[in-house]
Amino acid sequence: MHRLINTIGNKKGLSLIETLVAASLGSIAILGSFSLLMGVEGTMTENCEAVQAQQEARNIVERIAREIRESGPDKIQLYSYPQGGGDAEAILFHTPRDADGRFVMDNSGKPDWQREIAYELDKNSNYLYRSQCYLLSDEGSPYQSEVVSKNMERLNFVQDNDMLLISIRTFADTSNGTGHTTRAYADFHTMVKLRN
Amino acid sequence: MLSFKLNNESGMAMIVAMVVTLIGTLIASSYMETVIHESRRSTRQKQSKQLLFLSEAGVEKSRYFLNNRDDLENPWLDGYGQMLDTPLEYTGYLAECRYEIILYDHNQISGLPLDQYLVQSIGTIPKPDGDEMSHTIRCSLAKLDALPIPAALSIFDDGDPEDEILNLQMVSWTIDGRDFGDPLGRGLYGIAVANIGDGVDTQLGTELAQITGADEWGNLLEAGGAISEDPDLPRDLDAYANYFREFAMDISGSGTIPIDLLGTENDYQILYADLNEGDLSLASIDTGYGILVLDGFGEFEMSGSSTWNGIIVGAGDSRISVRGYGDGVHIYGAILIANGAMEMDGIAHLQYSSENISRASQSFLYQVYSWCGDWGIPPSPENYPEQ
Repeated sequence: MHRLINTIGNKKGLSLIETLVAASLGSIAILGSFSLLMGVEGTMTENCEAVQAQQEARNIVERIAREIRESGPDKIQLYSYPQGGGDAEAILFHTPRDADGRFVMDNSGKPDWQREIAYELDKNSNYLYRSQCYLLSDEGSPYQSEVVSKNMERLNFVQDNDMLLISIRTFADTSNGTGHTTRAYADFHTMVKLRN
Repeated sequence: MLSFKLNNESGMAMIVAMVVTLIGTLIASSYMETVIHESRRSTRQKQSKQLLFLSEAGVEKSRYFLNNRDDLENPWLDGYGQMLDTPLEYTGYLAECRYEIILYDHNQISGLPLDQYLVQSIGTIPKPDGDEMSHTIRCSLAKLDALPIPAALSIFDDGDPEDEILNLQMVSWTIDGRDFGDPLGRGLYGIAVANIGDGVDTQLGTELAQITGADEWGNLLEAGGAISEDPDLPRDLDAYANYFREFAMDISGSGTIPIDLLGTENDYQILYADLNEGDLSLASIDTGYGILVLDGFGEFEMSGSSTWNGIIVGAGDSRISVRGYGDGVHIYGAILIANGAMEMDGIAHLQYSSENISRASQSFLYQVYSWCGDWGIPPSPENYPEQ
Protein backbone atom coordinates (compact mmCIF):
# COMPACT_ATOMS: atom_id res chain seq x y z
CA MET A 1 0.00 0.00 0.00
CA HIS A 2 2.75 2.32 0.94
CA ARG A 3 4.53 1.49 -2.29
CA LEU A 4 1.43 2.27 -4.29
CA ILE A 5 1.09 5.72 -2.69
CA ASN A 6 4.71 6.35 -3.46
CA THR A 7 4.22 5.35 -7.07
CA ILE A 8 1.31 7.83 -7.51
CA GLY A 9 3.12 10.48 -5.64
CA ASN A 10 6.15 10.11 -7.75
CA LYS A 11 4.34 10.38 -11.04
CA LYS A 12 4.72 13.79 -12.54
CA GLY A 13 1.66 15.77 -13.64
CA LEU A 14 1.07 17.15 -17.11
CA SER A 15 3.39 19.89 -18.10
CA LEU A 16 2.04 23.36 -18.92
CA ILE A 17 2.61 22.81 -22.61
CA GLU A 18 0.83 19.49 -22.54
CA THR A 19 -2.09 21.09 -20.74
CA LEU A 20 -2.27 23.97 -23.23
CA VAL A 21 -2.10 21.60 -26.19
CA ALA A 22 -4.80 19.40 -24.66
CA ALA A 23 -6.97 22.46 -23.93
CA SER A 24 -6.47 23.77 -27.49
CA LEU A 25 -7.33 20.44 -29.04
CA GLY A 26 -10.35 20.12 -26.77
CA SER A 27 -11.54 23.63 -27.70
CA ILE A 28 -11.15 22.89 -31.40
CA ALA A 29 -13.12 19.66 -31.00
CA ILE A 30 -15.88 21.40 -29.02
CA LEU A 31 -16.05 24.32 -31.45
CA GLY A 32 -16.23 21.89 -34.36
CA SER A 33 -19.01 19.96 -32.70
CA PHE A 34 -20.99 23.11 -31.98
CA SER A 35 -20.58 24.50 -35.45
CA LEU A 36 -21.84 21.15 -36.75
CA LEU A 37 -24.75 21.34 -34.34
CA MET A 38 -25.52 24.90 -35.44
CA GLY A 39 -25.53 23.74 -39.03
CA VAL A 40 -27.86 20.88 -38.22
CA GLU A 41 -30.10 23.20 -36.26
CA GLY A 42 -30.18 25.67 -39.16
CA THR A 43 -31.15 22.94 -41.58
CA MET A 44 -33.76 21.71 -39.16
CA THR A 45 -35.21 25.21 -38.80
CA GLU A 46 -35.42 25.58 -42.57
CA ASN A 47 -37.10 22.21 -42.88
CA CYS A 48 -39.53 23.09 -40.12
CA GLU A 49 -40.38 26.30 -41.96
CA ALA A 50 -40.94 24.34 -45.16
CA VAL A 51 -43.18 21.89 -43.32
CA GLN A 52 -45.05 24.76 -41.71
CA ALA A 53 -45.58 26.44 -45.07
CA GLN A 54 -46.63 23.14 -46.57
CA GLN A 55 -49.13 22.44 -43.82
CA GLU A 56 -50.66 25.87 -44.21
CA ALA A 57 -50.89 25.40 -47.98
CA ARG A 58 -52.52 22.02 -47.55
CA ASN A 59 -55.05 23.29 -45.02
CA ILE A 60 -56.03 26.21 -47.22
CA VAL A 61 -56.37 24.12 -50.37
CA GLU A 62 -58.44 21.53 -48.51
CA ARG A 63 -60.74 24.20 -47.19
CA ILE A 64 -61.21 25.90 -50.57
CA ALA A 65 -61.64 22.57 -52.39
CA ARG A 66 -64.22 21.32 -49.91
CA GLU A 67 -66.38 24.40 -50.45
CA ILE A 68 -65.90 24.72 -54.18
CA ARG A 69 -66.58 21.02 -54.79
CA GLU A 70 -70.24 21.69 -53.92
CA SER A 71 -70.50 24.57 -56.34
CA GLY A 72 -71.24 24.33 -60.06
CA PRO A 73 -69.39 25.19 -63.27
CA ASP A 74 -71.78 28.04 -64.01
CA LYS A 75 -71.70 29.29 -60.42
CA ILE A 76 -68.06 30.35 -60.47
CA GLN A 77 -66.40 33.56 -61.52
CA LEU A 78 -62.65 34.09 -61.72
CA TYR A 79 -60.94 37.46 -61.50
CA SER A 80 -57.51 38.55 -62.65
CA TYR A 81 -55.29 41.34 -61.49
CA PRO A 82 -52.72 43.17 -63.62
CA GLN A 83 -49.85 41.65 -61.71
CA GLY A 84 -51.34 38.26 -62.10
CA GLY A 85 -50.09 37.69 -65.63
CA GLY A 86 -53.54 36.68 -66.80
CA ASP A 87 -54.38 34.05 -64.21
CA ALA A 88 -57.03 34.69 -61.62
CA GLU A 89 -56.22 35.72 -58.10
CA ALA A 90 -59.72 35.78 -56.79
CA ILE A 91 -62.65 33.45 -57.08
CA LEU A 92 -66.33 34.01 -56.42
CA PHE A 93 -68.72 31.09 -56.20
CA HIS A 94 -72.11 30.05 -54.90
CA THR A 95 -72.68 27.40 -52.27
CA PRO A 96 -75.87 25.61 -51.26
CA ARG A 97 -74.82 25.61 -47.58
CA ASP A 98 -76.78 27.92 -45.33
CA ALA A 99 -75.51 29.76 -42.25
CA ASP A 100 -75.77 26.59 -40.15
CA GLY A 101 -73.83 24.54 -42.66
CA ARG A 102 -76.99 22.79 -43.82
CA PHE A 103 -77.03 21.64 -47.44
CA VAL A 104 -80.20 23.11 -48.94
CA MET A 105 -82.04 21.63 -51.91
CA ASP A 106 -85.14 22.93 -53.62
CA ASN A 107 -88.25 20.84 -54.21
CA SER A 108 -86.87 19.41 -57.42
CA GLY A 109 -83.77 18.12 -55.65
CA LYS A 110 -81.41 20.68 -57.14
CA PRO A 111 -79.10 22.79 -54.97
CA ASP A 112 -80.74 25.89 -53.58
CA TRP A 113 -77.91 28.42 -53.63
CA GLN A 114 -77.64 30.13 -50.27
CA ARG A 115 -74.37 32.03 -50.08
CA GLU A 116 -71.79 33.68 -52.25
CA ILE A 117 -68.22 33.07 -51.15
CA ALA A 118 -65.09 34.82 -52.36
CA TYR A 119 -61.42 33.98 -51.82
CA GLU A 120 -59.16 36.88 -52.63
CA LEU A 121 -55.42 37.39 -52.29
CA ASP A 122 -54.13 40.84 -51.34
CA LYS A 123 -50.70 40.83 -52.92
CA ASN A 124 -49.47 43.79 -50.92
CA SER A 125 -50.06 42.25 -47.53
CA ASN A 126 -49.93 38.59 -48.63
CA TYR A 127 -53.21 38.09 -46.81
CA LEU A 128 -55.79 35.66 -48.13
CA TYR A 129 -59.33 36.82 -47.39
CA ARG A 130 -62.47 34.75 -47.37
CA SER A 131 -65.65 36.77 -47.72
CA GLN A 132 -69.25 35.69 -47.85
CA CYS A 133 -72.73 37.11 -48.19
CA TYR A 134 -76.19 35.59 -48.18
CA LEU A 135 -77.98 35.44 -51.51
CA LEU A 136 -81.49 35.15 -50.17
CA SER A 137 -81.50 38.22 -47.94
CA ASP A 138 -84.14 40.72 -49.03
CA GLU A 139 -82.11 43.72 -47.99
CA GLY A 140 -78.90 42.48 -49.48
CA SER A 141 -76.40 40.98 -47.15
CA PRO A 142 -73.08 42.76 -46.61
CA TYR A 143 -69.90 40.82 -47.17
CA GLN A 144 -68.31 39.41 -44.04
CA SER A 145 -64.58 38.92 -44.37
CA GLU A 146 -62.02 36.92 -42.45
CA VAL A 147 -58.31 36.43 -42.93
CA VAL A 148 -57.59 32.82 -43.80
CA SER A 149 -53.84 33.14 -44.22
CA LYS A 150 -51.22 35.81 -43.65
CA ASN A 151 -48.52 33.99 -45.54
CA MET A 152 -49.73 33.58 -49.07
CA GLU A 153 -47.75 34.71 -52.06
CA ARG A 154 -49.71 33.29 -54.96
CA LEU A 155 -53.24 32.08 -55.66
CA ASN A 156 -54.33 30.86 -59.08
CA PHE A 157 -57.46 29.24 -60.43
CA VAL A 158 -57.90 27.78 -63.90
CA GLN A 159 -61.31 26.45 -64.88
CA ASP A 160 -62.02 23.95 -67.64
CA ASN A 161 -65.76 23.18 -67.72
CA ASP A 162 -66.46 21.34 -64.47
CA MET A 163 -62.81 20.98 -63.48
CA LEU A 164 -60.98 23.63 -61.48
CA LEU A 165 -57.24 23.73 -60.89
CA ILE A 166 -56.25 25.44 -57.64
CA SER A 167 -52.61 26.50 -57.22
CA ILE A 168 -51.24 28.30 -54.20
CA ARG A 169 -47.88 29.28 -52.76
CA THR A 170 -47.47 29.91 -49.07
CA PHE A 171 -44.38 30.87 -47.11
CA ALA A 172 -43.04 30.77 -43.57
CA ASP A 173 -40.50 33.22 -42.14
CA THR A 174 -38.12 32.58 -39.28
CA SER A 175 -35.68 35.00 -37.68
CA ASN A 176 -32.45 33.46 -36.35
CA GLY A 177 -31.93 36.19 -33.74
CA THR A 178 -29.15 37.97 -35.64
CA GLY A 179 -31.62 39.98 -37.71
CA HIS A 180 -31.34 37.54 -40.58
CA THR A 181 -34.69 36.13 -41.73
CA THR A 182 -35.08 32.98 -43.76
CA ARG A 183 -38.20 32.22 -45.82
CA ALA A 184 -39.40 28.83 -46.95
CA TYR A 185 -42.00 28.33 -49.69
CA ALA A 186 -44.53 25.62 -50.38
CA ASP A 187 -46.38 25.17 -53.66
CA PHE A 188 -49.57 23.19 -53.70
CA HIS A 189 -51.81 22.25 -56.62
CA THR A 190 -55.04 20.32 -56.68
CA MET A 191 -57.73 19.59 -59.23
CA VAL A 192 -61.34 19.79 -58.06
CA LYS A 193 -64.42 18.57 -59.88
CA LEU A 194 -67.37 20.93 -59.50
CA ARG A 195 -70.14 18.53 -58.58
CA ASN A 196 -73.30 20.61 -58.68
CA MET B 1 -3.93 15.89 -4.89
CA LEU B 2 -3.20 18.08 -7.92
CA SER B 3 -1.74 15.15 -9.83
CA PHE B 4 -4.95 13.17 -9.14
CA LYS B 5 -7.08 15.92 -10.70
CA LEU B 6 -4.84 16.24 -13.73
CA ASN B 7 -4.87 12.52 -14.25
CA ASN B 8 -8.73 12.44 -14.40
CA GLU B 9 -8.98 15.36 -16.86
CA SER B 10 -8.75 12.92 -19.72
CA GLY B 11 -12.44 11.96 -19.05
CA MET B 12 -13.58 15.43 -20.13
CA ALA B 13 -13.66 14.33 -23.78
CA MET B 14 -16.16 11.67 -22.85
CA ILE B 15 -18.35 14.14 -21.01
CA VAL B 16 -18.22 16.66 -23.83
CA ALA B 17 -19.00 13.92 -26.34
CA MET B 18 -21.96 12.80 -24.28
CA VAL B 19 -23.31 16.33 -23.91
CA VAL B 20 -22.94 16.95 -27.65
CA THR B 21 -24.60 13.62 -28.42
CA LEU B 22 -27.45 14.42 -26.04
CA ILE B 23 -28.07 17.81 -27.64
CA GLY B 24 -27.86 16.26 -31.10
CA THR B 25 -30.31 13.54 -30.11
CA LEU B 26 -32.76 16.10 -28.74
CA ILE B 27 -32.61 18.14 -31.94
CA ALA B 28 -32.89 15.08 -34.14
CA SER B 29 -35.83 13.66 -32.19
CA SER B 30 -37.65 16.98 -32.35
CA TYR B 31 -37.05 17.09 -36.10
CA MET B 32 -38.14 13.48 -36.48
CA GLU B 33 -41.35 14.25 -34.63
CA THR B 34 -42.11 17.05 -37.08
CA VAL B 35 -41.39 14.77 -40.02
CA ILE B 36 -43.55 11.98 -38.60
CA HIS B 37 -46.37 14.45 -37.94
CA GLU B 38 -46.13 15.73 -41.51
CA SER B 39 -46.03 12.21 -42.85
CA ARG B 40 -49.18 11.32 -40.91
CA ARG B 41 -50.95 14.38 -42.25
CA SER B 42 -50.03 13.56 -45.80
CA THR B 43 -51.20 9.96 -45.31
CA ARG B 44 -54.50 11.21 -43.92
CA GLN B 45 -54.91 13.49 -46.91
CA LYS B 46 -54.22 10.61 -49.28
CA GLN B 47 -56.75 8.48 -47.44
CA SER B 48 -59.38 11.23 -47.55
CA LYS B 49 -58.92 11.42 -51.34
CA GLN B 50 -59.30 7.64 -51.57
CA LEU B 51 -62.46 7.86 -49.48
CA LEU B 52 -63.87 10.58 -51.67
CA PHE B 53 -63.35 8.50 -54.82
CA LEU B 54 -64.62 5.39 -53.08
CA SER B 55 -67.88 7.01 -52.08
CA GLU B 56 -68.16 8.49 -55.58
CA ALA B 57 -67.96 4.91 -56.87
CA GLY B 58 -71.04 4.18 -54.77
CA VAL B 59 -72.92 7.06 -56.40
CA GLU B 60 -71.95 5.76 -59.84
CA LYS B 61 -73.14 2.29 -58.85
CA SER B 62 -76.48 3.80 -57.85
CA ARG B 63 -76.77 5.50 -61.22
CA TYR B 64 -75.93 2.20 -62.86
CA PHE B 65 -78.74 0.49 -60.93
CA LEU B 66 -81.22 3.10 -62.03
CA ASN B 67 -80.10 3.43 -65.63
CA ASN B 68 -79.92 -0.29 -66.29
CA ARG B 69 -82.99 -1.57 -64.58
CA ASP B 70 -85.17 -3.86 -66.68
CA ASP B 71 -88.56 -2.69 -65.59
CA LEU B 72 -89.18 1.04 -65.71
CA GLU B 73 -92.23 0.68 -63.49
CA ASN B 74 -90.22 -0.98 -60.74
CA PRO B 75 -86.81 0.48 -60.06
CA TRP B 76 -86.08 -2.16 -57.45
CA LEU B 77 -85.85 -5.00 -59.93
CA ASP B 78 -82.31 -6.10 -60.69
CA GLY B 79 -80.97 -7.27 -64.05
CA TYR B 80 -82.06 -10.85 -63.38
CA GLY B 81 -85.66 -10.00 -62.60
CA GLN B 82 -85.20 -10.38 -58.85
CA MET B 83 -87.12 -8.04 -56.57
CA LEU B 84 -84.96 -5.85 -54.38
CA ASP B 85 -85.92 -4.52 -50.98
CA THR B 86 -86.66 -0.86 -50.40
CA PRO B 87 -84.66 1.10 -49.62
CA LEU B 88 -82.05 -0.62 -51.72
CA GLU B 89 -78.91 -1.40 -49.74
CA TYR B 90 -75.80 -2.60 -51.49
CA THR B 91 -72.16 -3.10 -50.59
CA GLY B 92 -69.39 -3.17 -53.16
CA TYR B 93 -65.77 -4.11 -52.48
CA LEU B 94 -62.67 -2.67 -54.11
CA ALA B 95 -59.59 -4.44 -52.76
CA GLU B 96 -59.69 -3.97 -48.97
CA CYS B 97 -61.94 -0.96 -49.29
CA ARG B 98 -65.69 -0.94 -49.59
CA TYR B 99 -68.59 1.36 -50.33
CA GLU B 100 -72.08 0.96 -49.01
CA ILE B 101 -75.02 2.58 -50.71
CA ILE B 102 -78.57 3.12 -49.60
CA LEU B 103 -80.97 4.26 -52.28
CA TYR B 104 -84.20 5.86 -51.11
CA ASP B 105 -87.29 6.53 -53.20
CA HIS B 106 -90.50 8.43 -52.55
CA ASN B 107 -91.80 5.63 -50.34
CA GLN B 108 -89.13 6.37 -47.76
CA ILE B 109 -88.90 10.13 -48.17
CA SER B 110 -92.01 12.23 -48.16
CA GLY B 111 -91.71 15.03 -50.65
CA LEU B 112 -89.33 13.20 -52.96
CA PRO B 113 -90.76 13.28 -56.50
CA LEU B 114 -91.73 9.97 -58.06
CA ASP B 115 -88.89 9.85 -60.52
CA GLN B 116 -86.22 11.00 -58.10
CA TYR B 117 -83.95 9.16 -55.69
CA LEU B 118 -81.74 10.06 -52.77
CA VAL B 119 -78.54 8.05 -52.50
CA GLN B 120 -76.28 7.82 -49.50
CA SER B 121 -72.88 6.37 -50.28
CA ILE B 122 -70.36 5.57 -47.53
CA GLY B 123 -66.80 4.77 -48.51
CA THR B 124 -64.74 2.91 -45.89
CA ILE B 125 -61.05 2.02 -45.79
CA PRO B 126 -59.19 0.08 -43.09
CA LYS B 127 -56.40 1.66 -41.05
CA PRO B 128 -53.26 -0.22 -40.00
CA ASP B 129 -54.38 -0.16 -36.35
CA GLY B 130 -57.50 -2.13 -37.23
CA ASP B 131 -59.78 0.89 -37.08
CA GLU B 132 -61.66 2.27 -40.10
CA MET B 133 -62.10 5.63 -41.80
CA SER B 134 -65.22 6.54 -43.71
CA HIS B 135 -66.65 9.33 -45.83
CA THR B 136 -70.29 9.87 -46.76
CA ILE B 137 -71.76 11.47 -49.85
CA ARG B 138 -75.43 12.18 -50.32
CA CYS B 139 -76.89 12.98 -53.72
CA SER B 140 -80.25 13.38 -55.32
CA LEU B 141 -80.53 11.55 -58.62
CA ALA B 142 -83.04 12.45 -61.30
CA LYS B 143 -83.49 12.63 -65.01
CA LEU B 144 -83.30 15.96 -66.75
CA ASP B 145 -86.40 18.07 -66.29
CA ALA B 146 -88.80 17.10 -69.03
CA LEU B 147 -88.23 19.28 -72.04
CA PRO B 148 -91.05 21.77 -72.32
CA ILE B 149 -92.80 20.73 -75.52
CA PRO B 150 -95.84 22.94 -76.00
CA ALA B 151 -96.23 22.36 -79.76
CA ALA B 152 -95.09 20.35 -82.74
CA LEU B 153 -92.59 23.12 -83.44
CA SER B 154 -91.39 25.14 -80.44
CA ILE B 155 -89.32 28.22 -81.07
CA PHE B 156 -87.19 29.20 -78.09
CA ASP B 157 -86.85 32.73 -79.38
CA ASP B 158 -83.98 34.87 -78.20
CA GLY B 159 -86.17 37.96 -78.62
CA ASP B 160 -84.27 39.55 -81.48
CA PRO B 161 -86.88 40.78 -84.01
CA GLU B 162 -84.21 40.88 -86.71
CA ASP B 163 -83.90 37.11 -86.66
CA GLU B 164 -85.74 35.37 -89.45
CA ILE B 165 -86.43 32.09 -87.79
CA LEU B 166 -88.87 30.52 -90.20
CA ASN B 167 -88.44 30.09 -93.92
CA LEU B 168 -91.44 28.12 -95.10
CA GLN B 169 -91.76 27.86 -98.86
CA MET B 170 -95.10 27.82 -100.61
CA VAL B 171 -95.37 24.12 -101.30
CA SER B 172 -96.76 20.99 -99.73
CA TRP B 173 -95.68 21.04 -96.12
CA THR B 174 -97.72 20.77 -92.93
CA ILE B 175 -97.09 21.39 -89.27
CA ASP B 176 -99.65 19.52 -87.23
CA GLY B 177 -99.95 19.66 -83.45
CA ARG B 178 -102.62 16.95 -83.28
CA ASP B 179 -101.29 13.94 -81.45
CA PHE B 180 -100.40 11.24 -83.93
CA GLY B 181 -102.33 8.10 -83.06
CA ASP B 182 -104.60 9.70 -80.44
CA PRO B 183 -108.11 8.38 -81.17
CA LEU B 184 -109.75 11.47 -79.67
CA GLY B 185 -107.68 13.79 -81.83
CA ARG B 186 -106.24 15.66 -78.81
CA GLY B 187 -102.98 17.45 -79.18
CA LEU B 188 -101.07 20.70 -78.93
CA TYR B 189 -100.54 23.82 -80.96
CA GLY B 190 -98.83 23.56 -84.30
CA ILE B 191 -96.28 26.22 -83.42
CA ALA B 192 -95.37 27.77 -80.07
CA VAL B 193 -93.21 30.84 -79.94
CA ALA B 194 -92.13 33.15 -77.15
CA ASN B 195 -93.11 36.31 -78.93
CA ILE B 196 -95.34 36.40 -82.02
CA GLY B 197 -94.51 40.08 -82.28
CA ASP B 198 -91.07 39.08 -83.43
CA GLY B 199 -92.60 38.53 -86.83
CA VAL B 200 -93.20 34.80 -86.89
CA ASP B 201 -96.70 35.23 -88.30
CA THR B 202 -95.33 37.62 -90.91
CA GLN B 203 -92.70 35.10 -91.81
CA LEU B 204 -95.42 32.51 -92.25
CA GLY B 205 -97.16 34.78 -94.75
CA THR B 206 -99.94 33.09 -96.67
CA GLU B 207 -98.98 29.61 -95.51
CA LEU B 208 -100.89 29.88 -92.25
CA ALA B 209 -103.49 27.39 -93.45
CA GLN B 210 -100.89 24.67 -93.48
CA ILE B 211 -100.58 24.82 -89.72
CA THR B 212 -103.01 22.89 -87.58
CA GLY B 213 -103.34 21.78 -84.02
CA ALA B 214 -105.85 20.64 -81.44
CA ASP B 215 -106.81 21.56 -77.91
CA GLU B 216 -107.06 19.16 -75.00
CA TRP B 217 -110.62 18.23 -75.94
CA GLY B 218 -109.73 17.42 -79.52
CA ASN B 219 -111.12 20.61 -81.08
CA LEU B 220 -109.31 21.46 -84.28
CA LEU B 221 -107.12 24.56 -84.32
CA GLU B 222 -106.24 26.05 -87.66
CA ALA B 223 -104.01 28.74 -89.14
CA GLY B 224 -103.32 31.57 -86.68
CA GLY B 225 -105.31 29.71 -84.02
CA ALA B 226 -102.78 26.89 -84.15
CA ILE B 227 -99.96 29.25 -83.21
CA SER B 228 -99.38 29.82 -79.52
CA GLU B 229 -97.60 32.76 -77.98
CA ASP B 230 -95.87 31.47 -74.88
CA PRO B 231 -93.73 34.12 -73.17
CA ASP B 232 -92.59 31.60 -70.57
CA LEU B 233 -90.71 29.47 -73.05
CA PRO B 234 -87.08 29.15 -71.99
CA ARG B 235 -84.75 31.07 -74.22
CA ASP B 236 -81.77 28.85 -73.90
CA LEU B 237 -81.49 25.33 -75.25
CA ASP B 238 -77.76 25.19 -74.61
CA ALA B 239 -78.28 23.68 -71.16
CA TYR B 240 -80.09 20.78 -72.79
CA ALA B 241 -77.37 20.42 -75.40
CA ASN B 242 -74.74 20.26 -72.65
CA TYR B 243 -76.80 17.74 -70.72
CA PHE B 244 -77.19 15.40 -73.68
CA ARG B 245 -73.61 15.84 -74.75
CA GLU B 246 -72.42 13.95 -71.67
CA PHE B 247 -73.97 10.65 -72.64
CA ALA B 248 -75.15 10.98 -76.27
CA MET B 249 -73.39 9.28 -79.15
CA ASP B 250 -71.29 12.01 -80.71
CA ILE B 251 -71.71 12.04 -84.49
CA SER B 252 -70.09 15.45 -85.06
CA GLY B 253 -68.38 15.70 -88.41
CA SER B 254 -69.82 12.46 -89.78
CA GLY B 255 -71.70 14.15 -92.65
CA THR B 256 -74.65 11.79 -92.62
CA ILE B 257 -76.13 10.02 -89.63
CA PRO B 258 -74.52 6.54 -89.65
CA ILE B 259 -77.09 3.83 -90.44
CA ASP B 260 -76.15 1.75 -87.40
CA LEU B 261 -76.94 4.72 -85.15
CA LEU B 262 -80.39 5.40 -86.54
CA GLY B 263 -81.97 3.19 -83.89
CA THR B 264 -85.15 1.17 -84.11
CA GLU B 265 -88.66 1.35 -82.79
CA ASN B 266 -87.52 -0.51 -79.68
CA ASP B 267 -84.11 1.08 -79.38
CA TYR B 268 -84.21 4.84 -79.34
CA GLN B 269 -80.84 6.52 -79.75
CA ILE B 270 -79.49 9.76 -78.34
CA LEU B 271 -77.27 11.51 -80.88
CA TYR B 272 -75.30 14.72 -80.55
CA ALA B 273 -73.80 16.67 -83.44
CA ASP B 274 -71.68 19.80 -83.19
CA LEU B 275 -72.35 21.39 -86.57
CA ASN B 276 -69.22 23.52 -86.25
CA GLU B 277 -67.46 20.35 -87.33
CA GLY B 278 -69.56 20.01 -90.47
CA ASP B 279 -73.14 19.86 -91.65
CA LEU B 280 -75.28 16.80 -91.09
CA SER B 281 -77.91 15.11 -93.22
CA LEU B 282 -80.51 12.38 -93.29
CA ALA B 283 -81.55 11.42 -96.81
CA SER B 284 -83.25 8.86 -99.02
CA ILE B 285 -85.64 6.62 -97.10
CA ASP B 286 -83.57 6.47 -93.92
CA THR B 287 -85.56 6.41 -90.69
CA GLY B 288 -84.20 7.48 -87.35
CA TYR B 289 -85.49 6.96 -83.80
CA GLY B 290 -84.61 8.92 -80.69
CA ILE B 291 -83.29 12.33 -79.74
CA LEU B 292 -81.11 14.26 -82.14
CA VAL B 293 -79.32 17.20 -80.53
CA LEU B 294 -77.79 19.78 -82.87
CA ASP B 295 -75.35 22.36 -81.61
CA GLY B 296 -73.01 24.97 -83.02
CA PHE B 297 -73.32 26.82 -86.31
CA GLY B 298 -74.33 24.75 -89.32
CA GLU B 299 -77.14 22.93 -91.09
CA PHE B 300 -78.97 19.68 -90.55
CA GLU B 301 -80.85 18.67 -93.68
CA MET B 302 -83.58 16.06 -93.97
CA SER B 303 -84.37 15.28 -97.58
CA GLY B 304 -85.96 12.70 -99.87
CA SER B 305 -88.41 10.49 -97.98
CA SER B 306 -86.51 10.31 -94.71
CA THR B 307 -88.27 10.02 -91.36
CA TRP B 308 -87.43 10.91 -87.78
CA ASN B 309 -89.35 9.53 -84.81
CA GLY B 310 -88.69 11.42 -81.60
CA ILE B 311 -87.29 14.83 -80.77
CA ILE B 312 -84.95 17.11 -82.71
CA VAL B 313 -83.30 19.82 -80.59
CA GLY B 314 -81.70 22.67 -82.52
CA ALA B 315 -79.47 24.40 -79.95
CA GLY B 316 -76.77 26.97 -80.62
CA ASP B 317 -77.11 28.53 -84.07
CA SER B 318 -78.06 25.33 -85.85
CA ARG B 319 -80.38 25.49 -88.84
CA ILE B 320 -82.82 22.71 -89.66
CA SER B 321 -83.80 22.30 -93.33
CA VAL B 322 -86.50 19.92 -94.44
CA ARG B 323 -86.68 19.36 -98.21
CA GLY B 324 -88.87 16.41 -99.11
CA TYR B 325 -89.83 14.77 -102.33
CA GLY B 326 -91.46 11.49 -103.33
CA ASP B 327 -93.36 10.42 -100.23
CA GLY B 328 -91.88 13.39 -98.47
CA VAL B 329 -90.05 13.92 -95.20
CA HIS B 330 -91.92 12.92 -92.03
CA ILE B 331 -91.11 13.90 -88.47
CA TYR B 332 -93.23 12.24 -85.80
CA GLY B 333 -92.50 13.87 -82.47
CA ALA B 334 -91.43 17.47 -82.04
CA ILE B 335 -88.80 19.99 -83.06
CA LEU B 336 -87.31 22.58 -80.72
CA ILE B 337 -85.19 25.37 -82.13
CA ALA B 338 -83.39 28.30 -80.52
CA ASN B 339 -81.34 30.96 -82.26
CA GLY B 340 -81.06 29.20 -85.58
CA ALA B 341 -83.67 28.82 -88.28
CA MET B 342 -86.15 26.31 -89.64
CA GLU B 343 -86.73 25.89 -93.33
CA MET B 344 -89.41 23.68 -94.91
CA ASP B 345 -89.63 23.04 -98.60
CA GLY B 346 -91.19 20.46 -100.89
CA ILE B 347 -93.23 17.67 -99.37
CA ALA B 348 -92.71 17.66 -95.62
CA HIS B 349 -94.84 16.86 -92.60
CA LEU B 350 -94.10 17.63 -88.99
CA GLN B 351 -96.54 15.81 -86.77
CA TYR B 352 -96.63 15.94 -82.98
CA SER B 353 -96.48 12.48 -81.37
CA SER B 354 -96.68 12.10 -77.60
CA GLU B 355 -95.85 8.40 -77.88
CA ASN B 356 -92.57 8.99 -79.69
CA ILE B 357 -91.67 11.84 -77.35
CA SER B 358 -92.37 9.62 -74.35
CA ARG B 359 -90.20 6.85 -75.75
CA ALA B 360 -87.42 9.29 -76.45
CA SER B 361 -87.64 10.72 -72.93
CA GLN B 362 -87.27 7.27 -71.40
CA SER B 363 -83.79 7.09 -72.82
CA PHE B 364 -82.70 9.95 -70.57
CA LEU B 365 -80.21 8.80 -67.97
CA TYR B 366 -80.23 9.49 -64.26
CA GLN B 367 -77.92 12.34 -63.39
CA VAL B 368 -76.67 13.77 -60.12
CA TYR B 369 -79.00 16.67 -59.39
CA SER B 370 -77.24 17.74 -56.23
CA TRP B 371 -74.04 16.51 -54.61
CA CYS B 372 -73.24 16.89 -50.95
CA GLY B 373 -70.06 16.03 -49.05
CA ASP B 374 -70.05 14.97 -45.41
CA TRP B 375 -69.28 18.25 -43.70
CA GLY B 376 -72.00 20.37 -42.17
CA ILE B 377 -75.52 18.96 -42.33
CA PRO B 378 -76.18 16.93 -45.45
CA PRO B 379 -79.60 16.22 -46.96
CA SER B 380 -81.06 13.07 -45.48
CA PRO B 381 -84.42 11.31 -45.41
CA GLU B 382 -85.21 13.34 -42.29
CA ASN B 383 -84.42 16.81 -43.59
CA TYR B 384 -85.36 16.46 -47.26
CA PRO B 385 -87.34 19.54 -48.34
CA GLU B 386 -91.10 19.16 -48.26
CA GLN B 387 -93.01 19.64 -51.48
